[in-house]
Amino acid sequence: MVTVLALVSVRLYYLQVMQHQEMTELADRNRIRLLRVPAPRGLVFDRRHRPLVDTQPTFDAEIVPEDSTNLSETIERLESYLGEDHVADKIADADEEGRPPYEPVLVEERLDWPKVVALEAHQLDLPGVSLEITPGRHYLYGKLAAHLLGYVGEVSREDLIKQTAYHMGDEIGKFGLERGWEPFLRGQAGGEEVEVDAVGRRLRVLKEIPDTPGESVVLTIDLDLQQAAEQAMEGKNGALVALDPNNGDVLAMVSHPAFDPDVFGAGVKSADWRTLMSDPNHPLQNRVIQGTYPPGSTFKIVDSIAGLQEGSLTEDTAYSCAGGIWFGGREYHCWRKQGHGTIGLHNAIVRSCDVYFYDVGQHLGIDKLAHWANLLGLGLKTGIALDNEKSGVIPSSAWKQKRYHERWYPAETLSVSIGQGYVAVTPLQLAQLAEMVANGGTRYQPQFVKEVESLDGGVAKAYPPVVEQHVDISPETLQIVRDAMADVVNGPGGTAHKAALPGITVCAKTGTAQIVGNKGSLVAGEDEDKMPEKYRDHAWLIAFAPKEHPQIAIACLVEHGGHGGAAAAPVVHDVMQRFFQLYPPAPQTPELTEDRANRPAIARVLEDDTADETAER
Amino acid sequence: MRSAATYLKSWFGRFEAVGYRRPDPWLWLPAAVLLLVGLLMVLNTTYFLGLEKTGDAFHFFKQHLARIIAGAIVMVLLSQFSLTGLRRLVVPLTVISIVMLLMVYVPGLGLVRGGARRWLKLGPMVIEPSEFVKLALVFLLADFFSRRGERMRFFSQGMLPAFFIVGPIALLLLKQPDFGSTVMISVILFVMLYAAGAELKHLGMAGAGALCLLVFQAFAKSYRMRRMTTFLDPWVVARGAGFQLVQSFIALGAGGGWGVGLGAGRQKMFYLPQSHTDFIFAVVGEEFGIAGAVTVIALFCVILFRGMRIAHEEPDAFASLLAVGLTSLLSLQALINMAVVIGMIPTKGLPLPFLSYGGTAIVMAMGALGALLALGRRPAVR
Repeated sequence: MVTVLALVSVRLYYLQVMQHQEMTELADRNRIRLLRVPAPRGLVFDRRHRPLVDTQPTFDAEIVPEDSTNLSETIERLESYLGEDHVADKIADADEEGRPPYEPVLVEERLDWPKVVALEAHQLDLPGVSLEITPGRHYLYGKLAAHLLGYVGEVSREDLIKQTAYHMGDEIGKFGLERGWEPFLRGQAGGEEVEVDAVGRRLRVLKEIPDTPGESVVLTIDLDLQQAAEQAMEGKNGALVALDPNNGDVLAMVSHPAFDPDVFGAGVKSADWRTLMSDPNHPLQNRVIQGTYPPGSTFKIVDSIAGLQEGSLTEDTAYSCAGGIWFGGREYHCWRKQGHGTIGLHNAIVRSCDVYFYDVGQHLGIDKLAHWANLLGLGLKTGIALDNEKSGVIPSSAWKQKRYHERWYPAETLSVSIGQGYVAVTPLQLAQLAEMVANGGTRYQPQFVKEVESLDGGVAKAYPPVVEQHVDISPETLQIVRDAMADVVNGPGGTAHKAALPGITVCAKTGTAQIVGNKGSLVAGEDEDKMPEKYRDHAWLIAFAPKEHPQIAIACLVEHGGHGGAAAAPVVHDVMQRFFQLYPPAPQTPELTEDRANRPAIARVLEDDTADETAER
Repeated sequence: MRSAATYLKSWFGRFEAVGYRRPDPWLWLPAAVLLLVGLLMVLNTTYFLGLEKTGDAFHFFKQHLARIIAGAIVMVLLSQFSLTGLRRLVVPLTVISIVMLLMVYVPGLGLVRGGARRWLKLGPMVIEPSEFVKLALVFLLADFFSRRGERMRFFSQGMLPAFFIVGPIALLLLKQPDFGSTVMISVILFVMLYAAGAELKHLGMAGAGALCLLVFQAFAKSYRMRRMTTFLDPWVVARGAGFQLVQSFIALGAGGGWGVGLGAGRQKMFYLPQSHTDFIFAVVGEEFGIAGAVTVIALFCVILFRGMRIAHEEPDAFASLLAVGLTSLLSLQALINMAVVIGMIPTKGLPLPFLSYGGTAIVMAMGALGALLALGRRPAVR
């Protein structure tokens, strides 16, 4: 008896004295409950302050089973209005998960308008049923720039554990801008602090805390340009990214196919999710930063700059192209079987002669080539503020040793020289290559957010240009490359005539990323048009314009598009055309005139045969 | 008329009281303090409940007060009884209690609340027979064991017949179901068997058997199993099965040393279920702190020791056994109740004598005290 009493006393001491503080706090928390009102998420504007993403009320149907006098009847009616028959299951599930009494059960989210009206009109027949109005994310242009804008979803268990500021059921940015700029966009939930009893009935309101809406984000994207780009890419799989070469701003970013971010708002249906995940075209992948492709002939720009800067190549270097060369016991073809004859650097770029650049690559060696490719941003992450960016691959002898424990074979240099073999880059990296040629060697970090707007309309955070790297490229080198790229579009024998614009000198380089055949060798593929689409090559075009004072740099990839000039050039044309309608070319500034325009025209070795301009390789 | 009254009085043994003393204040004073605390607690735990349920904030308080008055009459009456008179109560108490236990199953009389057929509706009164049975059983066992005398040492003569008496009653209680009262009468049985001189090894064996039965019963009903296990760590299921216990801990912990003050407790505001009945001790702990809780325990201890002293000094076997039974009925039930509230043993539906709101329980507890007072008045007790 004494023992029992002693035990009771110890237990009482433990509960009442030792745990006093903790329990007092719990008693307070018991009583006070914060009924949260989620803050409206910040808006997203394009660079000219037109809304792209906003927050609109959405209606969810909820039921408090305890408030219904005849639950089964209410459920039956509710099911008939909603046209579904699992309301009872949902209540049972919620109860199983430990729903406290008087806590509402979510019956259906994002009701369409007829259902909202039906429930409103029959409110009296549906005791316990209520419409919960929550701010819901709305993407005004649907799939437009979906990969960049991203999407929101219900906060996950992991996020809840990591971030204490979130509560069950909150919305959180899951992808893209929504995720990266979450702290700004989110705002602060307000609510009512109410005193409740144990069964959750409200006794009285203690205080109201106003919610703070999220801050708005202004993008560098131009809505019109983005729309033009989306339209130009319509029906194609691939990617397009347009940069401002003067500061690295992303003007447009398209990855096709895209997804509808609205689908994700507050609880993606598992069926929708499966469809997206299992789609063989991978709509969730942002090809601009996650797709790695062989750059094909666009890599010849890298060859040229590397050769010219290293001194192994001059403006006047000429090689002879007989449609292919023999190397290491194998023939390496030029895309033009009959060859280009003796050809100089300018025309080799314009006509995209493979044999010429096999020679350039051989004289440089793989490591110098790789060094320059890296300097020009290839094979490196650009540092854009989006998740899961891929770096791609720029092979070198050290890379191969590490990766395959094998030495580098000179023959492999040939493939690399024309952007095949192990080389893999992202569209964004190639857009940066165009940007660097356009601005004279400065690689900016690509940025798609111009500023974060504070609630009073001021600038809460600005994003000045960030120079990732400046590469010294001699003016002569730049001149040679730019002139050649201008003739790719405008000169005879150029491979991207379809990108030409009246009155504006567009500079470009086509490329075809081969996906069939052994890596490191080129197997002739003349019968491309007869091939099934999935074996067709990827088409590239990188471009900038105007030549004299570049305002835009673009990289475009069309998957299985075949030749770059045929498939990608028209896309770039459309985008550039729209861009210059929106932003007419600026008058030339004196220093640019001095630097670029007044240089004597480079003598061109014009050849009498005119190749099929678009069928380059 | 006069002769009838005289007869009644002589039947109850009033006039044997020549050498009798006044009732022991060490018994009734602690009980009176507990009843007073109970009144205050019932008033302040049922104020809002009364408003919510009946519109009268004092509804439950008035009911409680009426029952205390009724209980006081029963207590005073019983305290005047002689030993012979108390012995004459054995048969009527037993018969009435068994009849009541069976009447629960009569349609129109039996009242089912919360899935348990545990109440009897007699006109305006609602009686809980199980409370009555506990008191009657103490009388019956005291009488039975005292008649057996020395034979109690033999298993077949003492313990076995006792099981035959208690067994059917226990089964009736289990069927209601009233697990708490079943456990309570088993505990009383064992204490009285021990006091009556049953062999310890028999008690040990029977105890082991009873424990097996208890475990079996617990497994038989899932909610009992949950009750059994949740008390070990109620926080795991704080929103579900452990809710009541967690809220009880919160109440006790919030009370701290000296409590939040009379009426200032919050847990009774619908957080702590049954705060006015089985969990009233938690509210005592919240409003008066550990000081109040320990005081309540001390008051029960005084009753316990005083009751056991009577049992010890009483030469008459029936009186001694009756004192043991009545004392355990009051103090052991209190102990079990408090142990439940502080999470030391699994949850049971047992009220705290003198404090908890509950009609039959309060009248029966006061009746038990009255009988104990009557025993304490006997000259043999010094």
